[in-house]
Amino acid sequence: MAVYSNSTISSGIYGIARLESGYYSFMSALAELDTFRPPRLESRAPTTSVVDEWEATRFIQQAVQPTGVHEPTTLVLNLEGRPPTPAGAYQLVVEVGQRIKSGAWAGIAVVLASSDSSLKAVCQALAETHELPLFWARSVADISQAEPLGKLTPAERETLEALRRQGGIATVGLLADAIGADHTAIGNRVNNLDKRHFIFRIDRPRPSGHVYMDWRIADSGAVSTSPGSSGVTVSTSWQSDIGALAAMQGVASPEELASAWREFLEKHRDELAQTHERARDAISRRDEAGIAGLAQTHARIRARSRARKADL
Amino acid sequence: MCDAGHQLRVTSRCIREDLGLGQPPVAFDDLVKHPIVDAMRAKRAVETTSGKTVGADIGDRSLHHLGIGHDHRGATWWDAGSQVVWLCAYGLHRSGEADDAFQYFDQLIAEARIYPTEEDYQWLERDQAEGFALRVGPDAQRLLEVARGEPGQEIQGTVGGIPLGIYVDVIETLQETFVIFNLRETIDPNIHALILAGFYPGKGWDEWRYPQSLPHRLLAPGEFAYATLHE
Repeated sequence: MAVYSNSTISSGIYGIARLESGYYSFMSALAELDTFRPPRLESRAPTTSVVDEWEATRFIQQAVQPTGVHEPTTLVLNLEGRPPTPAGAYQLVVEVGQRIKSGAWAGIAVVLASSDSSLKAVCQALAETHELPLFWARSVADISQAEPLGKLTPAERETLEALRRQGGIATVGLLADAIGADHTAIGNRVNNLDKRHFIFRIDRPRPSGHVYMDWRIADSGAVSTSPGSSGVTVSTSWQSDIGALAAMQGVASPEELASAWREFLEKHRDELAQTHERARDAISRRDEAGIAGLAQTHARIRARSRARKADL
Repeated sequence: MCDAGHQLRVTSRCIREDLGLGQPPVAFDDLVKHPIVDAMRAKRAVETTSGKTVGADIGDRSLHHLGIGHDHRGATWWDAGSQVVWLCAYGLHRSGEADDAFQYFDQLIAEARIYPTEEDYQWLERDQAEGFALRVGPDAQRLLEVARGEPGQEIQGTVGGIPLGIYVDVIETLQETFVIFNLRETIDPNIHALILAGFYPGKGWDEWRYPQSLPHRLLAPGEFAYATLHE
């Protein structure tokens, strides 16, 4: 059971709750699977070829609706082929960054995506000047490699990278072991990163300890694995829950893992029965291609997780 | 797969850019014609790490030097989590020259391009799935036969490479089979479904129950058991 800290939850796909100030107060208990679910990935792009100040304002207003309860969401603003004017870039970066920084867009991280290195330099300068918590990716397909744009100390960058290498989800203890620093120092670093919206925290009671999550694992493959590749009807919820289970393997306690697995079995009884039926059929017919297809249906999730750990 | 139980693989970047042996995936046996891959097979099949490090010694992420002959040089990495030795880079030793293998390796490290990528792990997953497909049925039946021969004894084994336990409990004229998974090893529902189907292809999902404990012991943390009755 856990509560989100930084990520305030409201309903609606891109909804955000407006919080008054200070720390967040989402107090709904979460099931194990929800605790470890990677952030939702959403993408938006301006509809005009030139993004001036007016269009930037309109785009920001339309990208995020200020209503409802939602889950932590990584919002990609795709600027590829739609370079903003100087005033448009200023409006986009500073306005979006300020909304996240102030908590008005709680529960959301924003990744600006474009291969334009000049635009990146401009956005980086703005983010550093105004100390804005934004990320930059070379493309919408490259969110897991997004770089933070705002000002970070070398120690904070090291911590963020260590979190990414842990698969984007870790406790203070895991990060301290990975970095080789003491728990107090790492605790301070992750608290700062959380408060500055570069990561988010999931509160868990003792002895489990809080979990910290990297916004960039929204691109975990949990919801983007090709549905139906094995012929099985899949739901977004099923895929998302499998992503959460994969994320848990490296960080959750054995008890939490078993509890989450029970929750998964109850929740997805129909999908499991369907999958098992196909498994029985393939094994009875000694259909090796069919068995291999079923066995690697979720391979992309595992491959991403393994590659992240291998990647310096 | 080596006798020692681990695999030898070459990263896709290395196949394309360093060895020039075509577009991955390429079977390891087709790469052995290259001297450095042949050397890898000879040396890393037994010792997953040996020799000097390439770049800094960074614990379990250290790259190791692999050499053969006068000038063939490689950098290998022991990926303990996946039980794979990867050939990550290859070059020719040209002492003092700009294109020297070790300068090239340093450049790859600096550019964060030397370690295996998602593409490499996707091929690894695909190959593992093919191996799993060949073995899941026969392994499960073999293990079941052993467990039936020793009712009341927990038998440890692997099915398609996945370690698990099996226990057959005799209740008068009925038998109940318990299949015990370690969720740290696999938490993929498709793998669980395939393994259970490997034991009893005739039984539907609803014929398996999830016991809270085993007849002979409690479940350890992280363990999960399925049980089914049969005559």
